[in-house]
Amino acid sequence: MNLTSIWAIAAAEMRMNRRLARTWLFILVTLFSCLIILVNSFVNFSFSSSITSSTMLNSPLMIPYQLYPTLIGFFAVWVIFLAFDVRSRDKRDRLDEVIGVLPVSNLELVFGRATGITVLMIVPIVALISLYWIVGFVISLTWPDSGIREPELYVTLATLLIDMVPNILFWVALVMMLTLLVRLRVIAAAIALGLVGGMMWAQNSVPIYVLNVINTYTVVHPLPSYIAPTFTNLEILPHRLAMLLLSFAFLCIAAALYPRLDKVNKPRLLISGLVLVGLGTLVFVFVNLQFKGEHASRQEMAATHKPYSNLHQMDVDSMAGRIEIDPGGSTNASFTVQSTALASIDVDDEIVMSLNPGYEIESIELNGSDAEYRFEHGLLEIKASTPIEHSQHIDLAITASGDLNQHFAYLDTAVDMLSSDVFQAFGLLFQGADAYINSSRYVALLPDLGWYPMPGSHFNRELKHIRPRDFFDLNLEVVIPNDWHVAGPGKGSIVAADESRLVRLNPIAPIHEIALFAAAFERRTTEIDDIEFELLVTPNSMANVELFEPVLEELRAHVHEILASAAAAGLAYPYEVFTIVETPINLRAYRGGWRMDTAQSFPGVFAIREGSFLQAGFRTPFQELQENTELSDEEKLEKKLAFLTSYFKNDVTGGNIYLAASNNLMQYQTDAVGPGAIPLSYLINYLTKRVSTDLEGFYSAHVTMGTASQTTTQIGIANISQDTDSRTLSRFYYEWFINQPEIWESMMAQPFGATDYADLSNSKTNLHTLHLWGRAMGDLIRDWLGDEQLSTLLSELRTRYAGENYSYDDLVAVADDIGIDITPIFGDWLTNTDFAGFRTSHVTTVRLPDREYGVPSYESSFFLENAEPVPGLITVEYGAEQDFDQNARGEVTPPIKIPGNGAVQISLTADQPLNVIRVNPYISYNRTSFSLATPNQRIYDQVDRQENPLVQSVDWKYEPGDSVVVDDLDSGFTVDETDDASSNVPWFLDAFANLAFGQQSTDQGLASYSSAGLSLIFGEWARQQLDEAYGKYRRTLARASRGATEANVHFAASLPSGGNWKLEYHVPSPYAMLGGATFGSGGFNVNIQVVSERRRRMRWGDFDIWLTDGDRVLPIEVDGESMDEGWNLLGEFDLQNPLVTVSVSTNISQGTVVADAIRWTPTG
Amino acid sequence: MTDSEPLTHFSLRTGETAIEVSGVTHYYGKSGPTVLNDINLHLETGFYGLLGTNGAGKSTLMRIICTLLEPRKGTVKVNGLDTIKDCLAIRRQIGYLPQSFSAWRLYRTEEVLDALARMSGVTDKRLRKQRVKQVLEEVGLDQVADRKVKKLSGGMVRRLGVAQALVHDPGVLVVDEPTVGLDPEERIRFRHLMADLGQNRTILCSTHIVSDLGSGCKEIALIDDGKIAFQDSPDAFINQAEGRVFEMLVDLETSMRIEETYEIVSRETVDDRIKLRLVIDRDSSIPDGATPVNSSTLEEAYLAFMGSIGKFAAVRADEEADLQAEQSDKKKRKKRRNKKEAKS
Repeated sequence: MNLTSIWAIAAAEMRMNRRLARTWLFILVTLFSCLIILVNSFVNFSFSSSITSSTMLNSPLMIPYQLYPTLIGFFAVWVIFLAFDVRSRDKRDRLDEVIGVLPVSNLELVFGRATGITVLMIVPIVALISLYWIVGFVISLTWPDSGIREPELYVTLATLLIDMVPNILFWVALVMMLTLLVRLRVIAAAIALGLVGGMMWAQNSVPIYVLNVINTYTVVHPLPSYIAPTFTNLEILPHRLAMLLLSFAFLCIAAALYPRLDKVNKPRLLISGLVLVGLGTLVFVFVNLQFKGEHASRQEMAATHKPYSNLHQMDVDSMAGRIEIDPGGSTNASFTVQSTALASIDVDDEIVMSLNPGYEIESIELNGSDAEYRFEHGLLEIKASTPIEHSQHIDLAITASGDLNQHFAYLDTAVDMLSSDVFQAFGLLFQGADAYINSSRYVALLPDLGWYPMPGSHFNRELKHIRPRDFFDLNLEVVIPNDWHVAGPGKGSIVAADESRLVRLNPIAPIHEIALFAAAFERRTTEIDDIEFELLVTPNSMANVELFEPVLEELRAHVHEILASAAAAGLAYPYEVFTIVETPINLRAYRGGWRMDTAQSFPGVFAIREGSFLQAGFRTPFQELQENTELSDEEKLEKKLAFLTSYFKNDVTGGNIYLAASNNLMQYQTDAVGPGAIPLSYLINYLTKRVSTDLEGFYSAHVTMGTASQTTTQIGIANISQDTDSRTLSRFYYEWFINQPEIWESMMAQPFGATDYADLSNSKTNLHTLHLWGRAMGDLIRDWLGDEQLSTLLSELRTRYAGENYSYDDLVAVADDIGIDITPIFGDWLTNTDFAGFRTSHVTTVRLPDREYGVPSYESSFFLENAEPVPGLITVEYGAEQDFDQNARGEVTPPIKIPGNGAVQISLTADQPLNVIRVNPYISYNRTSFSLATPNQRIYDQVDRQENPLVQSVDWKYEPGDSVVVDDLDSGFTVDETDDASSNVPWFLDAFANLAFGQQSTDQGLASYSSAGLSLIFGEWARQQLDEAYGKYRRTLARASRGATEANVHFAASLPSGGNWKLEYHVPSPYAMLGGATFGSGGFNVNIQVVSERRRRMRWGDFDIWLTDGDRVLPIEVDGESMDEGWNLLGEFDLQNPLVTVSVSTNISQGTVVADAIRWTPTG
Repeated sequence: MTDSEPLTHFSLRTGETAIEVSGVTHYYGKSGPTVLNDINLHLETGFYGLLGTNGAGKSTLMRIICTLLEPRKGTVKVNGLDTIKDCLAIRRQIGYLPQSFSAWRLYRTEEVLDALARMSGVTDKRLRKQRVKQVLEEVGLDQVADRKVKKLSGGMVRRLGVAQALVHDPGVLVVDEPTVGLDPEERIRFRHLMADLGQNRTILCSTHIVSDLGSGCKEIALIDDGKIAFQDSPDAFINQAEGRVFEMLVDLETSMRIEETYEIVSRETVDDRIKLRLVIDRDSSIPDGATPVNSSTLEEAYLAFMGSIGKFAAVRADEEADLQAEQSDKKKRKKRRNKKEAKS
């Protein structure tokens, strides 16, 4: 082939395409899309990066991660529209014969034209990236506050050198071949677009390890990291090579099929093309095998370890050793493990341990003698040469070296990125894909990598009821390069510094795992309450550290307050140092197992991810603060500190430093074991967090990996407040994702004793159920006991069991010893799911004699019954409406205990009539807080008496008298089964709604949406929670819009007898339904404005209702517009049967139909 | 290579065979009708005309010579190179103007030439620029060098076609119906250009418009039903028409009667009478008053020849087709113009 000819043809093709309007249209569309990404990133950074790390995905750091695939993806599609009519353009321009006699071969012609289109599309990509580079660089110098900087070099180079050409050329070549194969250009383009569509379909349908092969742009791509940059990986390179081979193959085939005389033997060309197709396919197969092999290798390792996951042979007492970190090279390690046998081990039986399979074991000594061992897939089986008795000490010495295998980590992960779909994979990728980083700039050794010997298998370590957490003492020497620092448990004392540095880690309290992070960090330390706070960040990430330096004293005071509070609660921080270390964005930030907990918190160490706090944009809000003349300097400093504290409080990605620190107070010192260990551990840890930091926190990898989390974050940000801990993003996430009907149903369906945490397919529900129960139960216990008693209990628990484990019985015993009976609170929590259930009377308000100075006094009172045998706890929040604004809440009563099947009268006194009274019931069948209707009068009855006590026991029952009520949550309420109603919804709207607002959940069989307005769009019967609705415990109603799926709902009532009965129908006010879903007790009332104004003017139409009494069907005419809020009389009926059904249809004249409750009352 | 040197031009000594067509037979499809039947041609330096009615097989032969088609039988050699085995080498030495030619509509005139010259192997940018300028001047398009192709008139596009065939200075030039769409002035200009170029090149010009060939034509080959029906110099072609071209001066009534019976070449009004030149078939009788013409034109000779083989009708059909095409073009142009005016 003559390159000059090829380039001449390419130049002509480029010029041709440059003149096409579509080319510029494509470039402009792409440019616009990229601009949106940039602006979105910039705006997001400016407005929300200082609020939470959850917006990291949109941070300037991540721009290349979004921009590059967008650029390449767009242009790969555009080339289809440029390449599909190359030949027909010749014909149209009547130039085909002139081109036919050009002195070039068909191969040169085809290659030239493909090159022309490819280069033409590459130029804008290179130009845009270069522009981005220059602009980023200039902005970073001139306007550092913007957070925008030049894109990360390695990822950029990889995009330009590895991704760009194969992706564009592949589609050009494919389309050119297709146009010659099928002759009709439109069909060729349609086939190519079909393939693109197929690829997109595959994204939802095949696991990543397959998708990575069949997608032209590999999904699992290294993220742009400035700390530990990654150019590419060994899966991407051959994949691109295969694409190039296929591209050449397609062009050869196209040249062979080109209807033009050629000196080259066309069959030979065709064969060459087919051979190249074969070669390309082989490389694809190789890549596929590589991914599959990776996947299979993990499965094999998991299969090796799983059978031993229940084995619990030894309790490690201490570990000593030395590890030599050679950045980018192999790891040399030697460990001495002293442990106690938990079972007798006979001669020739094996002690089972796990160790990273990348190691080559040099020697193993058991109790001072060389031991026989087998080491396969990271499972280390050491043969006992002499019998080992129960409780006998076991001394093990292991020396090993090698290149650690990152696939060994998280073998039991509930969601494996390689097996997940593309959306999950993106979410997971964003949370880091590498379990091990060993580059020339950074080394991260996470505990789950198994870089040090661990007792038992490497599977199901999180099943605490089977595998209790093992606490041990550590004395570890770490060898690192001389200018590096290492973060690990305990104070790193430099033992020797020569060509390399020897650091000893010897924490003063036991630990259960070791995480090491080493790099040429900048190091800052400060000591507070005899605890050293060490900050290790890379030099380029110092900007925010320096920005917050002026508030160091305030920060110290803040930390002192927390430490002092924890110490006062008997939960002093146990180590001499707390290290905050920066970690690369590619490092996996979540763990494995069923829980997939955060991997940013370790004993004595908090890992702060690259791209989060250290790169967040605080300068602009600081500047605004500085310019505020109304605030004093002290107040400004306080505000600045508030930025820092609220940033972490709002974290929902596992990077909440308060929670990481509080983990050290309890669960890194002692942990639960035995039946119910997992929920108990969660509960005790939650209580510790609440006592020490007053924070709840929230993290679920299942949520952050979901597509909805980013949108949810944006909505959440608009609903949070820096001034109150009750309106944090973590609370918002909890309300949005956890406090949902489906999770409640799951919690009520199965007691914890029956929960199988080893069933990874159910891990999300199990985790979210635990979040729901743990928080509700935790808040209940905290308010039930009070902070003082609770602190005593926790402190005593830690004191007694530090370095060991405790069971539920141990907890009860500890509580008993300090005079607390916690059993009524827990009840039979492991075996049943009974809760309290509260019902209330109407509120009555009277005016009491005025207080001193003529201050009026009003008393609002109501009865409250706990209709279930399980005791319950409530608080009541009350006030005048004006007391409640976005941040402020009303008055809150102390927790009120209501015995099982008991009732109380609650009286609330205020200097004005109360019009907001909310009952917060903790964990109960009511599920969430609910409002009581307050009398709306001008003049209140005046009584001449003293105010009632807040709570009085009464003998009161909520009884409807002779009436029979059927509510929408009762078993008598049914909905006709229909086809999937959402199929009526256009797919794009469905997809958008799911993406933006989260998937719909179900509430007792009916759809339930994050925003109630969505049910109107989806056109189906949906359940809405509404304070104004009727309900025994929960106040809900079913609703549908006109024209929704033809499905009727039925209220079936079983009356004592036939005869004369009055039928009433309960409706809330239409206005009450305008709001969105009201979420629990969090105070969030999120109303997404998806309903149009026309729909907002909601009103009842003429309801289509009929009564079925045996064979009789009686239509009931109901003018919806004339219905009032509450019970509405539908008529009196002489019933022939005691079993009657009232049916409601969606066939209404207008607006919305609701099915809330019916009430039959005898009149005869 | 110096500026004055030809680019890919292989100069031929007079008498050296440039195009050798030997026993070429061609048919389309597997067993379609034979388009060319045992064609033999031998072309040296000079301007050659290939005559024949539409569908006679001229374009097929041209495309075979230009390596666009592979003959079913026989061989074609250009400058001694075989069109099948050495097609690339031949393409370097050949310039081709197809019957149906336009160019990339969005290119400027000079860009078309520049791109095609570059693809034809003129890699030196300066030389290419010079060459483009030169051919633009030669075909009279230098004034519209930077005009986009879509804005050129039909004649300009045709001239651009000629220019592109010449831009790489080929030794052999094959032009298929080059004057279609050209106005009379352009046709004359074209004839002169061909005659000039034919001094040191081999030019094969296929046409059914006999006047295109002119006096500069070295030899004429007439192709009929896929066979060479005549091959000799234009003079010989004219001579063969001797005794079959007549002239007569008649009144209108007689003129109408004569026109119904005989093939009229031209009619002219002279003092209320009509002067007719007509071609008489071998089998027809000479009308009264008709006198033989001593020096007939090529057109008359062509008609006479076609008449002699009974193909008057085919020639007239070609003329009719040309006329219709011209009218259709005019209509289109008018429509476009009206549209433009309405827009403006």
